[in-house]
Amino acid sequence: MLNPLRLLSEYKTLNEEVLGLNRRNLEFIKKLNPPIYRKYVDNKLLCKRLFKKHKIPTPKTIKVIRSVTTLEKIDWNSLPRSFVVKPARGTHGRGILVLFGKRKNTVEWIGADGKIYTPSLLKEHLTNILNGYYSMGGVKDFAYFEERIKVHPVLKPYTYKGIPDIRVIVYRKIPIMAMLRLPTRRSRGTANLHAGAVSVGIDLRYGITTHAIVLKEVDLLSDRYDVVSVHPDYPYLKLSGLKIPYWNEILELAIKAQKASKMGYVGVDITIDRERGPLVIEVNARPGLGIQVANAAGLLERINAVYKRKVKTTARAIEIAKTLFGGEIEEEVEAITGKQILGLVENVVLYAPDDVKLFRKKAPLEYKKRFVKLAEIPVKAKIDTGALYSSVDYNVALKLGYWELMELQDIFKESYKDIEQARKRFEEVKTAYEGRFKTIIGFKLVRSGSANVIRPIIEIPTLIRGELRKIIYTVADRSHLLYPVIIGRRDLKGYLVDPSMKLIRRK
Amino acid sequence: MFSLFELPATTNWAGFIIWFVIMFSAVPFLRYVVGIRHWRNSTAITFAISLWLFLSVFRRWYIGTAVWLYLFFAGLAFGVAVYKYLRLKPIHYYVKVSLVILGIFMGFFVALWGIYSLLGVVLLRSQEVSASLILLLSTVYEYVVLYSRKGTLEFIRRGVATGLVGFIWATSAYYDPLLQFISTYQAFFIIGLVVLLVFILARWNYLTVVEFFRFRPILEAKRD
Repeated sequence: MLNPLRLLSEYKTLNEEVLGLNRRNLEFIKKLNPPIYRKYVDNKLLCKRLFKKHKIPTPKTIKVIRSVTTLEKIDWNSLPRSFVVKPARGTHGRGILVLFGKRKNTVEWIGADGKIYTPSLLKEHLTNILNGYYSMGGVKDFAYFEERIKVHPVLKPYTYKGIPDIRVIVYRKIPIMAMLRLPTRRSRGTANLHAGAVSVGIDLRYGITTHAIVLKEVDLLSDRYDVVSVHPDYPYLKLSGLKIPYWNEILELAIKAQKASKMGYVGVDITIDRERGPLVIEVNARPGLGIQVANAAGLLERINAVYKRKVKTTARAIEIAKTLFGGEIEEEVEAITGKQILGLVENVVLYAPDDVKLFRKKAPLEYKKRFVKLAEIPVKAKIDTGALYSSVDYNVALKLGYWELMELQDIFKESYKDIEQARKRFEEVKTAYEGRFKTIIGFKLVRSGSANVIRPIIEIPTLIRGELRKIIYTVADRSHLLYPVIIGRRDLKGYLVDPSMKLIRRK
Repeated sequence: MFSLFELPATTNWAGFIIWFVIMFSAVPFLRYVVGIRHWRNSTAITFAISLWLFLSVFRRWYIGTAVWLYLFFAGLAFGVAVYKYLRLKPIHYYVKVSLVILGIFMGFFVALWGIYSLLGVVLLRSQEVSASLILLLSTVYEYVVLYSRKGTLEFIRRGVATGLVGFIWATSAYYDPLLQFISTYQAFFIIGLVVLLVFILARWNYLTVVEFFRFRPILEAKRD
């Protein structure tokens, strides 16, 4: 039985995260994709011209047929063994004919549907294209022949006869979502989701596929999907975990194509040729919304994360996209290993323990005048697997209430090149201060640069990624360094560190 | 002999026209709130007027609707059959259009002949029925175009949505007390409400009901 309150709550959540047609049309397409630029991408031939101008690689055009007169003059013998017939203004893959090979000693081609296409059949198909049968709004159209892409070997096993492609949604220069579309027998070799192609979400950070969906066989209500784990035509092939080749290049091309289109919200369709690498097929001014189901994530949520973020370079845009919208694979690794993944820099929170807070009352006046008492301090910490021990800045420790460190200011200035001298001094300090401090638990002799130094050690409860740990820190003067805190190897047990992860704040 | 075809009910033309205008607000509501897409306003209009004219010949609206639907599906079946046969034939486009229309007309003819054979009634004697059939021809042709452009599934979805709009228009307009009510001074109040609704819908950017069910799996996947 459907619970109305639960449905309402789900509707509210979905409305905040998922982009629907109404909002897409009103707030994105109408505002960011002006009709003057839309006309360039609605016509594939104009789009190709645009790509050529901006040096964006695309499949080569063999011939353009603009009228019945041109059609009559085609030299069928001069056409290559395999090519693709496309309408300039077609939508949803309609009117596209992929011809795989030529029959020996004939002028006949074999289509993706297994049919034999003679010149007369092709003429008829081209006539339909010219009459606007496949075009948006039924207006008269042009047809063109294009080179047939040779599918990349990584994707070839997953492809039933057609050409797989990758759609990247780019919002104001930042890629926000991507999916791989794989042709199937049901889709008759087209990479069209509505025709029954498989759509697989892609983790933006690693370019690895995540969830896969396919349109339900019969659904009168709307376009709803079934989640699949294997390819419907090749059940031995798992769909998740596939690494897309040239991933960085694909993201760069998508951004370049979006910039060339002068529109702010587009879907860029890219295919990977075996020899030429990534090629842009087209830019879509009204990208569909099924990509959200493939990625199990809402576009609106992601758009809000980057809303009004100004990006100057392509590299920065990709970095933002990877950091904010990657992580699916991480979660899987975390789930498998039981370990959280940290980047090189993390936001952590240092807390003043209760006994330290109480002990602050006994601090000298000088301390009370200089420092505001803080119960917690959020800081950026460097995750340093090259360091054994964690370290905290002297001033940060003081703010938390470790005022006894003020008595050791002279020790911070000492450093010894000779290790024996350093050890001797260390023993002296240990003996002199043993049992004297309440909040300083000991001392450590550490190597800092080319010298040996003595550092007091304190224990600070630290929150890292939602987990509170009691970390033993050496105290040092880090005021001249970028990060006031470093977390060393000894305190990283139970974590995995990914050096490619960078800290980017969500807005 | 029992006759299905009795004298027509009275017609309130003013109320009908006002009702028609009010019903236009149903289209954006269905589209932007519910999420049902229909196929062209003109198709829904010809559907409604054709049905309304046909119903005006019958005292019992459900009998009139059944006969009208019988003619509709007969024309549609013939039209789609002709379209499918001609689809890949190497003939000119507008010749194909003419042949499809001829096919639809043949469907009507066969259906009318069936009624005559079974019941001995010649429907075409009525002017309203003749006018209705002309509009029905246009409607069925649009349905064949829908089928050819969008495929079977989308044809069913949009065809049903268009039919729903047209059916509600026609049958409610046929309901005289409703037209009487609208023809009184309350009409302007109702039109005012309709205009307000349309203005609200103008900036409606929420998910439709259909989209809610379409994207609900995203929440389920996140919970997993």
